[in-house]
Amino acid sequence: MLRKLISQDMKNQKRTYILLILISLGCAVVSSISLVIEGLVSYEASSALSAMGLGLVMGLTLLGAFVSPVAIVFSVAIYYYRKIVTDEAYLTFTLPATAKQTLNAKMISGSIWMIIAAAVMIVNAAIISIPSILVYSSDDYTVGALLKDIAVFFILPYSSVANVILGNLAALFSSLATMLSQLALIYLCITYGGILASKHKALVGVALYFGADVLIGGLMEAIMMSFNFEYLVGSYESAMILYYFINALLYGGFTVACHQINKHLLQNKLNLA
Amino acid sequence: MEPILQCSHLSKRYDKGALALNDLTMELPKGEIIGLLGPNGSGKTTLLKLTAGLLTPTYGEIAVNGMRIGAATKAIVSYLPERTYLSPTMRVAECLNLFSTFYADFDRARAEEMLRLLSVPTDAKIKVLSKGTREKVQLVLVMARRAKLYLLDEPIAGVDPAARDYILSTILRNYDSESTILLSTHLISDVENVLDSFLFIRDGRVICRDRVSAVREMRGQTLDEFFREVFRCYAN
Repeated sequence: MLRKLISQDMKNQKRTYILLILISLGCAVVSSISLVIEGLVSYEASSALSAMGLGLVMGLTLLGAFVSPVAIVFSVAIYYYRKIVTDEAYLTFTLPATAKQTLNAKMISGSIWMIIAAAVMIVNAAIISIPSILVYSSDDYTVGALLKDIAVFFILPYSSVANVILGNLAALFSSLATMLSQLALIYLCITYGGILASKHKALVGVALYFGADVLIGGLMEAIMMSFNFEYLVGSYESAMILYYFINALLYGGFTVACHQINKHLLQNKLNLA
Repeated sequence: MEPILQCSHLSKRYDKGALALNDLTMELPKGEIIGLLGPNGSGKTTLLKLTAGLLTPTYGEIAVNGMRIGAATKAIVSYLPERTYLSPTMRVAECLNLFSTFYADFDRARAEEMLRLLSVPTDAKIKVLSKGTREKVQLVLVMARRAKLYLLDEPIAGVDPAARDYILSTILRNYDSESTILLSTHLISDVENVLDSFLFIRDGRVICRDRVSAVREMRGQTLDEFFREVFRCYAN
């Protein structure tokens, strides 16, 4: 049943999101081309209008490249709201599935789309920056040299191969856990907004989310600041790895807590009036 | 024979304090079309939603086919709410796919045949259909299941008399004698000929329950006349 639910959620969302991804990638390509043209062409004073036009295209496409993935995240939240709180919930909750399966499916499909959105952001950053870096840099700066510099960025903080792997894995887990905690918190606030309010459920959900986000963010920061990581492990390098792991654990735990509370609310408190 | 629906001291209080169902205890047999009748706010929709698993009881217990409400009961209950629950962006064919995927008892061929008879295009999006056509699509989806218990909340409200006749004949045509239909409506005169028995509900309690034929034979009244008599007393 879980597989069917995930497949249905992915199917329902893919049309919109694939369009957003294509728009985003298209904007990144146009933005990158505009940047390269600006670097190659030297404008005379008379062609200031063309330069302005190119700047405008570049600005808009740059914006489009990064706004579209953010729009995916908003759409994931809207999709959850529609399926759990609005009239469409009548269908969601009469399907032969448990509340746990329904929520797990939404969490898994939402996470997949959020990870894709994050990946699109990274790809866009590469599409936009790599050609322009090459154009604006000196002639002997090649693609190989650029890739080497990027690799060094990930390797430099660490003294051994083991630490490179451990450190980057910890950073990846930390980012994933932070992202998933946001998704779990968004879902929880939407559900709770649906229970608390009889009208303006979406607004209540959004207000709850921003309130909870500030509160939890502050609390997590305070917890992380209370550790003296360098004192605990002896070196800056190990402290950084430990920091990432504890961050991943904290946000991972928070994600599980939000998910469990949400499941309890869906099972026992959500009443479709 | 085990009843299809059992309610034991079932109560439902909404957050605002209104008691929608009040210590309701009853059993419904299999193989009947039962009218759930009562004035506005009497608790009809609440009872249907509790049975469908959309509400949680404040007190008491409810079971379908001997099972507590959950995924297993949802697999044998086919619920038609009084509102449109289909996503406006979905096409009718996608709705058929969805029901085929999730309900093992969904008879797709039967659904397609009903849609064809109603001249509903399967490639149309729900949002472009009229309100009446959307209701018909939902009714087709619900009645095309071989469910054990059908819960129909106001299936003929808001549609023209010709469509009412079609809906009632659809219900009768697709009704399996082993199944039970619990049908809530205000339009008693339209449905009384299809009902085997009825429940009068008021203030969350069943105040009268009998067979429709008994009302005709013993009281010499139609169900509509009897309803008006009973609820006129309450109104006074």
